[in-house]
Amino acid sequence: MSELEYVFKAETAMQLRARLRAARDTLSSVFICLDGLAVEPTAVHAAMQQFLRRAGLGDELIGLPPSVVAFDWTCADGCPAEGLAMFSVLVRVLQTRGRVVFVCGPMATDLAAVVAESGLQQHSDPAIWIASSTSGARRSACITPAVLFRSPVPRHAATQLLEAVEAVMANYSAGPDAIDLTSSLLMELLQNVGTHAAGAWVSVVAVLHNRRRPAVLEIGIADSGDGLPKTVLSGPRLRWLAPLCDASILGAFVANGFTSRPVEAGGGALRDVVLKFLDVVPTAVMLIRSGSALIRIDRSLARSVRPTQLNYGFGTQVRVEIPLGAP
Amino acid sequence: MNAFNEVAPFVTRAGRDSLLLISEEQTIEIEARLLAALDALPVGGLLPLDLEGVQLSSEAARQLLRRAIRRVCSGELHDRFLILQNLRRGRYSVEAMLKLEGLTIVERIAEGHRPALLGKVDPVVKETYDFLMRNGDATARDVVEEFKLNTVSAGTNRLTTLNGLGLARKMAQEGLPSGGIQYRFAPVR
Repeated sequence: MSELEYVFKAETAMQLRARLRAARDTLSSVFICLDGLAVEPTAVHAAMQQFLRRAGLGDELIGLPPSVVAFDWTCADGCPAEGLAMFSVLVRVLQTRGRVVFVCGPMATDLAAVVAESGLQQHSDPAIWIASSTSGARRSACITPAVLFRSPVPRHAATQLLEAVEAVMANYSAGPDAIDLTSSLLMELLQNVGTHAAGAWVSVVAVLHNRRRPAVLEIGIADSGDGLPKTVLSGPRLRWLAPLCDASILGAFVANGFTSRPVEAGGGALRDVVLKFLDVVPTAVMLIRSGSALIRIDRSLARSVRPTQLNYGFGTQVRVEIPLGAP
Repeated sequence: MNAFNEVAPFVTRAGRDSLLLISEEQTIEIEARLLAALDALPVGGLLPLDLEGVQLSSEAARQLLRRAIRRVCSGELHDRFLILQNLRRGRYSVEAMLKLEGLTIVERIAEGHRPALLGKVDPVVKETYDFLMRNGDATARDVVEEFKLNTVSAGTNRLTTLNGLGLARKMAQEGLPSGGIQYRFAPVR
């Protein structure tokens, strides 16, 4: 039996990890715990990003990238929407680069159900899934199957997402303005993906945390593009920011109206829509992690923008968190 | 008197399915049809752009509307007018784009509501437009009287500005008892 066949027969995450370690002289691999897929807490997320770098995602490291990448959900109790979306993107990118991908399924019942309902397992095909026995209670539900596509966004995917979001918000008695603005915001974000991550893999996931009080609707978008800081520097307008770190560039990008284009070239509408959205849905929060910068946007956006600098970051993740009223 | 030659609405979507327009590329063909429809308008023509069931991102709205509004405002399409109707979803994206581009357009909101200005709306322009809407039409002297302006030319300026923005039509020339002429303007609605 070849080393890879032996690894293929692993039945648990622990077994897989041990076998990959035992075979490391002949089979290059990296084992990545997925508890850091969420952009917060930043320390855990930053640590996971370093593992992604070792897996050959993003910056070139010395030597060949590993031929086997194992993702382990067993260590994660939960995962917000932007993390689920990023998972989908990571698996697809690695597969298109010819890597063998293993996924150890979640042990938390809630997470396992969301992963199954959203269709993330089907999206990751032909990754090898190792099922885990689950325990715990359900706390959330996927409101629509996740979508995975190469940017720009196909119309049917956007329609499906917007209709599901509008239906959930209406069910929770959200006002027509809040629904319309959420819809506009998502349209702008999806359109923006087409600009800053052209040709990249993009995934969108929408999850409803219906056991929280109030319930929270989370929409996550992730892509494998160069990231906003790098894209911003490719345009002439903000190129002078090149010596600065990603966090400062992302801060300037947000302050400049979420665009690297001048106003006369059509830039800046996203900022207006975000501000209006936060006005009408004041408890909503947006998190953007792009490259190695993370920014949290809430109602205080008008007063200050405080980005956080990570050591490294692959692609872009966006989370829109909308607390809802009673159903 | 009907101040405009209103034609059948320009329908953006085909069939009854809702239509999402996210990128410029998706909107180019519709914009070409819209510009052709504007070109084909008779003198004093008013083209309602029907956005029922359509949702636009700001980029798509820019592609669809910017050139059309600029052609109306610049006089390239002299005495032709454009109005939005049934803009229900994604209104804020369209509004944000118009504001950033410095454009204004009239929007038919719903039955029982007066049309309103959408986009970058100067308070004086809004005040004058609202007055025209209340009155049905007006001359510069009416504007002077309403807003207690000092000179007739100030009233004329307000009305010609509205006309230049494609928000009102210069529709009739009237003789004055004291000699001279004045124009009567009607709001796009």
